[in-house]
Amino acid sequence: MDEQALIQSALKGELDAFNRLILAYQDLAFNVAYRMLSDEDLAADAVQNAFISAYRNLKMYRGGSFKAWVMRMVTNGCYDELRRQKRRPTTPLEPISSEDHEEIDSPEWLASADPTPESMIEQAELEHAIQHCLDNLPLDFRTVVVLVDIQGMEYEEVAHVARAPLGTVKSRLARARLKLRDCLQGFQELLPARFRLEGEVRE
Amino acid sequence: MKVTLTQKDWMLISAYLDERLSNAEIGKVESRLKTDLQFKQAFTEIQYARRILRSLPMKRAPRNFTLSPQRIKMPVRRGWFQPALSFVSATAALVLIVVFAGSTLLPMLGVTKSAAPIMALAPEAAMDTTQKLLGESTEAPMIILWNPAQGAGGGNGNEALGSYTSGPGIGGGGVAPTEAPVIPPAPMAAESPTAKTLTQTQSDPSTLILGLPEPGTGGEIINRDFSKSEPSKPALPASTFWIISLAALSLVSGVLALILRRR
Repeated sequence: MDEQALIQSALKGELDAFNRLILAYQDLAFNVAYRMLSDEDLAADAVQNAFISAYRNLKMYRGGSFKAWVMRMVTNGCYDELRRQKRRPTTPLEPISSEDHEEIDSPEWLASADPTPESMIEQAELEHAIQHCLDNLPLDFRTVVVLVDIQGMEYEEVAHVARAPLGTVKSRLARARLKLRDCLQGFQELLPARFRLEGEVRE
Repeated sequence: MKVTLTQKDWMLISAYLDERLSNAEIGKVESRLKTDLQFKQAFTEIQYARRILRSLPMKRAPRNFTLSPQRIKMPVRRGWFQPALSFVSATAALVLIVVFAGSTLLPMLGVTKSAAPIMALAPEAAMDTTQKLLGESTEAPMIILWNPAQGAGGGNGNEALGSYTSGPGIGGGGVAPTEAPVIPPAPMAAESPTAKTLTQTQSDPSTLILGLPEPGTGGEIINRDFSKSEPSKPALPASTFWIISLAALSLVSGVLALILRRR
């Protein structure tokens, strides 16, 4: 069954049809939320709330890219969460480190193409560096760069998600990349060799 | 080497990397990449940042987010109380501003415009007031009469007014000797027509004046219970009352709305 048929069924109240749409987009939604919130639990909550909200507001869907419509719900949920955090900042009682996570059953481990310990450490360092740089971006820039560069979405879809004109999306993306370049250069020595910028373009 | 390019150049590079340029623009960028070293370096750096971002692995969802019928039940709507309180607070604040402006600014404008005529009319108004007061008081003046032979009110303060005849005369003299003939309070009300008038107007102490009695008549005592007199209350202007009420309403509803919102 194609996407439009599933949407029509879901509009008639068929929860199973909507759940199939969720299964199609949940990884993408979770990834976006995680890159924006830098926290798996918060990202999972944001995604769950976004899907609930999407189901309840399905009548508001006016055609076009369903992926973009769902991603807008997810990014809105992330904005709400970030605003809430800003209003009520919290400090974890214990520092969270990647060593605390279960490695064996982790989806990270399953998703990795190279499961050797060295490459996992390298990957973790790279992720940490990128996430740190993403966190330092203004929220609008972060949304655009996550959707385009990490999720590979089209400019038009991102414009729909961000409710911004195409030119604004291009501008935000260019400025976000510029800021990321500046930030990542601070991590040059810590990054794996294959991710270092070589030779002539180094400052 | 520090790369200094315009915002348009950065956008051009970014769009070129995403293949979002027209053929003409692509040609322009590629020719510039060959000639402009700074442009080339900027391109390489942005390409690098983009490559790193795209190297991030997709995080898989830690669980399924499928919905169950229980989960999609509409939640009980949060009370309308908080929005209502917010609205009341905002409205009260607006009305407060209007009332405050009306009660302070408008009179100020009115005084500055009509100050001269009021001052010119002031003596006439004062005369009118005096005549009015006189007119009221001449209708029924209250006269306290006393016997000049005996005097009244002086001396021993412990003596009751009712027994003033045994007290000292005006000026606070000593107590009269017991052999002196005691003249009881004269029943003036029955004899003097003036006194008759007095008895009718005793209720209004504002018209009280002192006068001399008819020859051969005694004094009259006016007993007044001052303890029962009503305390004078300063009148609160209506505008002040409204300002205070609205300010209190705005403050209380605003604070309650804030508390409810934070929950």
